[in-house]
Amino acid sequence: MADWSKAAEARGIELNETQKQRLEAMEKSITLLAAMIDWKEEPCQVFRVQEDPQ
Amino acid sequence: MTIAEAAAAIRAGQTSSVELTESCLAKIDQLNPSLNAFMTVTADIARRQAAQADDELRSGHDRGPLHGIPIAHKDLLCTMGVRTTSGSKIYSDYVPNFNATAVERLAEAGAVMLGKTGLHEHACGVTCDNPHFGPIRNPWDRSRIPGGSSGGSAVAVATGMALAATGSDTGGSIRIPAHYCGLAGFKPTYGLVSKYGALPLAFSLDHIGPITQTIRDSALMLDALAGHDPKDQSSVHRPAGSFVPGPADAADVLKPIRFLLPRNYYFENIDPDVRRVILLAAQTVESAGTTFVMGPVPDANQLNAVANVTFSVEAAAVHEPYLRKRRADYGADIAATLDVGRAIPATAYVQAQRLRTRLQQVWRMSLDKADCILTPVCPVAAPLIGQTTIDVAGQMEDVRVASTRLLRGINALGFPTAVIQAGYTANGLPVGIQLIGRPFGDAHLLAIAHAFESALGLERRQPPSAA
Repeated sequence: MADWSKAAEARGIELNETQKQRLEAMEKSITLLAAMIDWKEEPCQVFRVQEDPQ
Repeated sequence: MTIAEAAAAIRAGQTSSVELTESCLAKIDQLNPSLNAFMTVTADIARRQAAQADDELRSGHDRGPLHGIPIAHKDLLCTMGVRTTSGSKIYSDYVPNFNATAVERLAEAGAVMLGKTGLHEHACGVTCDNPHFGPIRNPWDRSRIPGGSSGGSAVAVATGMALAATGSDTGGSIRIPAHYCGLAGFKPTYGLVSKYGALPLAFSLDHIGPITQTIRDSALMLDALAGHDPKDQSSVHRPAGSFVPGPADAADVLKPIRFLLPRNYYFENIDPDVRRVILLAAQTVESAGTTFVMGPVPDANQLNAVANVTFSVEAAAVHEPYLRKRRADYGADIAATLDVGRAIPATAYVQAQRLRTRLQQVWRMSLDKADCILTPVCPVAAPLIGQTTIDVAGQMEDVRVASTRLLRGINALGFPTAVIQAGYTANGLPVGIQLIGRPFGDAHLLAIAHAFESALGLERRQPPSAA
């Protein structure tokens, strides 16, 4: 996964040291957790087509 | 006075809705200038609704235990014709033309609306030190925060300015103020209570629930609040049934119950005084014949990381249009939080949602071996207003992180959690206990929490500022 802070700064989002540390901690955790993902699974928030109310 | 006591007194002719409402309005006049719990007081509406409630009862129309009970609503629930600010400058003049479903359902159950309670700006924080409307103060010690974001609701209930209040909980916002103000609170299973008309913070983490003096009162509120709402896509269809604990003796309820006390994470880095209060409460209840099992729970740090990514991105998505045009109208802490969300890659958000599904399965397995998990709510008692870091068992921690780290992850799971009061620290500040239950096991969890509260038999003290 790319460095989130650098990517954000490239998009013009200014971050202080505390924000960078928070992002770094989240990035590390999500990267480590990737091993737990079942890649066949959809995220829990999925798109659903709504039926017209009759 | 609790809801249950007030409901009984009304029916026994010892008081009326009008008398209870006038008593609450007098307390608001007396206490609100110093505690700042209410954003808006709707005295005229309250008096009209109370008179109507009494008329209905006289004519034999009884809407149930909330009939004529004066309550307050967190000021992020839309109220028709009444300003709804979300504690923010952005919505400072917003007057909705509809009611949130929670407001509507409590009104249908006969509750009387006293007004709207203050909160941390946009419900996005734990201190309620609001840059636009001033700090809300803890009635146990006015120099301390009430917790948040539903701090105004908790202060109103703790002082008797209202008999109960609504709150919302995205990362602990019902449970933190319940703990810091010595109250009960309930975060229902996600989808059980409609979020329609609640100004959002993070779509998939926001929960609406009650803050009350006892957990039985929370169950009474939940009976009115719960139920499918077609206006809220996350609302679930569940069979109707009461959440109110039955009349069984506490010891009978507790005897077959197994509480899981986590061996890892939840009791690490806890203020020794808070730990003492919780373990003493557990020992007291254990003597009633229940079973406490020490055991591991899944990694809460992982869960918090997933919750943090979800929260940050969803909150940034909610606020992006306003943040772009009216950045100066946000408090510095909120703008900083939202910028973190803007910086997180979209792929990380999608992976976090996949991980939620997996973590739900893992955490659900922990609850195969126990009826509920017992944890502290926060590792400390109420911090001081203006305090940004706090000493937790010898280590300095950010107040926001410390207040939410035992709670935030559960919002990503959507499991129900109850907070009940456990006791007091050596310097007289309240301490709560969190009970985490199985998804959609809300009624079972409330029965356990009520039995725990009864077996503990804690003497209810009045906060010094409520006198």
